[in-house]
Amino acid sequence: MSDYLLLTSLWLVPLIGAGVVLCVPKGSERLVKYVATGFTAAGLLLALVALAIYVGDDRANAPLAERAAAIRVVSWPASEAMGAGDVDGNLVIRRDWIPAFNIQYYLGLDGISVSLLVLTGLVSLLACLASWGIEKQVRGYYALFLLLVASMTGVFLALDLFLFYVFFEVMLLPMYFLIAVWGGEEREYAAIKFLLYTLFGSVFILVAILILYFWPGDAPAGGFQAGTFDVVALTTIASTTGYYGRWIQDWVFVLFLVGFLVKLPSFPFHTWLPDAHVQAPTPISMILAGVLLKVGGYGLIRLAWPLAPAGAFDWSYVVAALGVFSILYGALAAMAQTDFKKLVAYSSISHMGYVTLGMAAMNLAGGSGYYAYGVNGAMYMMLAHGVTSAAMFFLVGVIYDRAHTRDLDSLGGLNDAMPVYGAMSYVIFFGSMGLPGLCGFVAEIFVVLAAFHYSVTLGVLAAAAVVLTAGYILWTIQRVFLGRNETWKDLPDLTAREIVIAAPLVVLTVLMGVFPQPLVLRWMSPSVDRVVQGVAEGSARNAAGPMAESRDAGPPQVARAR
Amino acid sequence: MPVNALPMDLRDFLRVAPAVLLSAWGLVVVAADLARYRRRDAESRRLAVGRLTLIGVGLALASAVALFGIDSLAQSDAPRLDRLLGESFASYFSRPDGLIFFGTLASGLPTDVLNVLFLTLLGLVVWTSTAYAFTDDLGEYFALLLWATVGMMLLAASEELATLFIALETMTICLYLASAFEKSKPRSAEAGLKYFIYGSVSSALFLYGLSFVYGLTGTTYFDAIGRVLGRGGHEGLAGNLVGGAALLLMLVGFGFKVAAVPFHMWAPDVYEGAPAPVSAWIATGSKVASFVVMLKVFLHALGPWSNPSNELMGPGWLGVVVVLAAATMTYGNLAALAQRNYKRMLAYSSIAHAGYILVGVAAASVSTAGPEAAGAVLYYLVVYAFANVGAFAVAAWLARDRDGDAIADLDGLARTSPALAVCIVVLMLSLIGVPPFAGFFGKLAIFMEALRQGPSGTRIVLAWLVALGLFNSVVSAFYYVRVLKAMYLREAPSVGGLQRAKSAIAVPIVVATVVVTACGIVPSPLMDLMRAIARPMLTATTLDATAVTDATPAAGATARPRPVAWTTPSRPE
Repeated sequence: MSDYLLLTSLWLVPLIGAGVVLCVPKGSERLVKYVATGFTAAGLLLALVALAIYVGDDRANAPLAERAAAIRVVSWPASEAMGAGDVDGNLVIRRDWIPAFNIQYYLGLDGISVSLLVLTGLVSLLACLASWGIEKQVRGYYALFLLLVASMTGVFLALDLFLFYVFFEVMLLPMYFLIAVWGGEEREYAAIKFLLYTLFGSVFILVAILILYFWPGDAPAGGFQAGTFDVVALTTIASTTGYYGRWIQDWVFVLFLVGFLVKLPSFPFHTWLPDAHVQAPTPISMILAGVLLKVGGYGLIRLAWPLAPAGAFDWSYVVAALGVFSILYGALAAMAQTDFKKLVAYSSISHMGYVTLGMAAMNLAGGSGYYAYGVNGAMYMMLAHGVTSAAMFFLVGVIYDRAHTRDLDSLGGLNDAMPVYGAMSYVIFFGSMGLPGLCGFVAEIFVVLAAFHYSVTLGVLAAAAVVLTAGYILWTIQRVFLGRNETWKDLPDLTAREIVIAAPLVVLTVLMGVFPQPLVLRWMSPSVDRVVQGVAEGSARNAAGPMAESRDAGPPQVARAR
Repeated sequence: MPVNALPMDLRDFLRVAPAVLLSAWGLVVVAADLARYRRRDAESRRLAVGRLTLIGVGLALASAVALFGIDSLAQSDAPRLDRLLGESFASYFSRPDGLIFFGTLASGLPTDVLNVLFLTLLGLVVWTSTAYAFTDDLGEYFALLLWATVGMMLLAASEELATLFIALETMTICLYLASAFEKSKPRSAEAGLKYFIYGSVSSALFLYGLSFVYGLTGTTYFDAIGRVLGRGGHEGLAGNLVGGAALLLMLVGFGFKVAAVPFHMWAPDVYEGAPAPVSAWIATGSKVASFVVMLKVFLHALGPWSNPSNELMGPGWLGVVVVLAAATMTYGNLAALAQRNYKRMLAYSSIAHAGYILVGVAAASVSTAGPEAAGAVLYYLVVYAFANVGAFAVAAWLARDRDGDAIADLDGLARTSPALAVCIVVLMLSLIGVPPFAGFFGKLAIFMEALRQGPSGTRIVLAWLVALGLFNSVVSAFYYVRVLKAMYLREAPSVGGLQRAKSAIAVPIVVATVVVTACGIVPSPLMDLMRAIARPMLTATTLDATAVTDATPAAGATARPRPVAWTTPSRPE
């Protein structure tokens, strides 16, 4: 399969699915569900194919910059045969899209994006299965759902800042409608809050993108001229030259940071999340927590840090402190909730704090080794949280379907009535808590290690938060599952469909805890390490002043390729 | 200053064929309505007159397209044109200057493209007009629409101040009348009167400004004005009280036509009071034409006064336009937040859009892309016009079935007409500027031109203006989403909801949706076309100009010959 076909169909297949779903005649709701599930399953399959190629093929897992440099940009529609400029099998494609502004249709995969792509495929398939209970306007629901999946996939694929932004914005609308039409009682408020927060955040991102595009340059960079949206080229420029000086990088970083922290979310931009989660229907909560929040994290690791390494370095303490504060704040807020779903939502904020902290723990003294721990931990946290939080929201939805309440104080004793449900929940909750042997632990230990190396105070606080996490998780387990409660003793246990949805996540929680290296890190961390390397190089160079690049021999590789 | 134009060439009338056709067709419509259709019942008479009008629009459109074909052939494949038209016509059409009627009107690709745009939009507006009964004087109504369009086409083509003013008045007087056509509604009469009073005062001021310009430069031709002013060097307007007054008076005139703050007061009342199709035509056709001619006057004729000293608040109009743009977009969006009336909301939204476009006007004068930067504004205008024609077709729908125009009248539309509801969603998204719809690319193109500058004193201010514009688009999301909310999250009223839309309403909505979607997903063709026509549009030179430009030594190392208006003198070191 050529790259062109593979990478395009990754986002196009769900989009076609959305169209097909709309064409299904009225009255055949079951067919709609089968079709939608089929298309999401195909999406997951394609993601797995991409992963297999990435892991198995040396052409594909070479550094992104090398692969991108090997490609000649072809104008579109090309007079030559399709794919003329591509090197086949390296998982990068680029075409001209809007030549007037040098905007390209530029997709590519590396370890970071392919891992999140598989996560997207998995969570959306499970969420699609979890949507079978939706009765209201089924066609509209699935069409929007598939549109959402398509745009999320596109975000992880895009290597052109502009294309990234387009996919990023397209995500908003289906999400808005999915919350506003199929949500709970306060759905309109939650939906508009989500929409406005995210739109507001994306303006910051757009401003940062435009600054990068128009910056005239502080120091010569081997013939490089701005006026490109090419993420890979810009990353290389930012890490190997002083073209983007320290002052402008500070600005670019802050703009990206604010934009993506809204999406992540982190304190102080988090307030849309509890509302959106509580009001969203269960499958949408799964998507929201499992994938959508990762878009924020992906933006940080792909754009904010690599494109403005010196800025990131200057701001690192603030950001790290923000991360620690989010961890503590999220955990404390979670502890205070009586609504099960809101509790899980706040736990998401707490966990996303680890992502911020892991990225920001930039102690570069003595090499970037410890910093690489932090970023790997942040990436791993995104995957682990994607698995556990999707599962947690699903489990909350299960109990809400049966008991029609999410009030923690009125639940209790569910373990007696629903033993399978209880067992699965324990694994997931402990995984989220970070119990050694489960997925959350790997992430947390990496992040906390890096944090200790960065600042002992922050490290201690982040480590102490583990106690808080354990506190609210265990307390929740106690309030929901343990004890005796006559009210719920007749609740049926999980159905086969529900087990099918929960089981993969439970299995992954365990596997990712036991075999982090062979399962994920083996192919993911080279890419992460390359990002770390670039960031470390760039921040060191620009900290030394823009003229530091003159020590370098030769122009950067990507600039030469252009 | 004598203008060495060729003697009057009767073939010039061929090149304004669309305008001639429309003018005549207006008479045909009036006469036919009087003679044939008056005795029919209201419904069939409306459809018949509407259809007749559409035929005229179709003919004019055909002639405009034919002219477009000829003109593009003249540029790309002259020998073929020779074979098709014969030598004398072919050489006439491939004349390089593209000016007709003693240089007062432009012709050629830019004019043809704009004519096609106007006529397509007019077709949609006329079609919308047949949707519901708001007047009995059908022949006169449709004729006025046609003649207003003649005014717009000539306005957009004008290359000379007096022609500009006559065309402007032709356009607006027709629109004054048309907005008062719904006699059963006092609001409509109020709209007409208000529009007329504001409009005539601003026209008077505008004319006064034009007279100053003539007094200062001794010519009324845009290109000649530009050349005269260009000799002023970097001092520009400094100490030139008359010039400053002329500039401000002209800004009042244009500000009124495009509804820029603080000359916007008429817009909400007129948009709300006038019949929906007329509001549509005021919001789109009139605005497009006014902006096109504003681009011509400010970039071509008054280009040397843009920012001659390379400072924002230096002696030039750039600072004033920047302030106007900032005030217009902010005020428009904030005021729109409070609206519950659909047409009034669109009025404020169109004020806000005028603000974005003014950013484009400011940007085009300083962008390093030269006149091509104005292509961004043209692209925006096209997209904006289509989205608004669609949006006002919805207003016609509301007026037809609910006899109202509140946003709440749209409640539950998603249930009753799901396909059109999706189309309306697309239109609203395009107006917000959400990718991948064309409104986003329009905004982006304008903002990118604003940022595409060499190192200059204006750079930072324009960057802040762009930031303000971006935040304004977030604010605007709030009120456009209200429309989506009404359609999707509210229940339709059990009785008296919106009925099925007939083609008169559905077609404009669908066409607008298709245009904004297509131009969003594949923006390049339209963007390239607009950038391509922006240069000849803003550099049309009168016939005596060639010698002068040739004599001027090329400034600096600029490779391509630049039009005089763009040779902004650099700041003295």
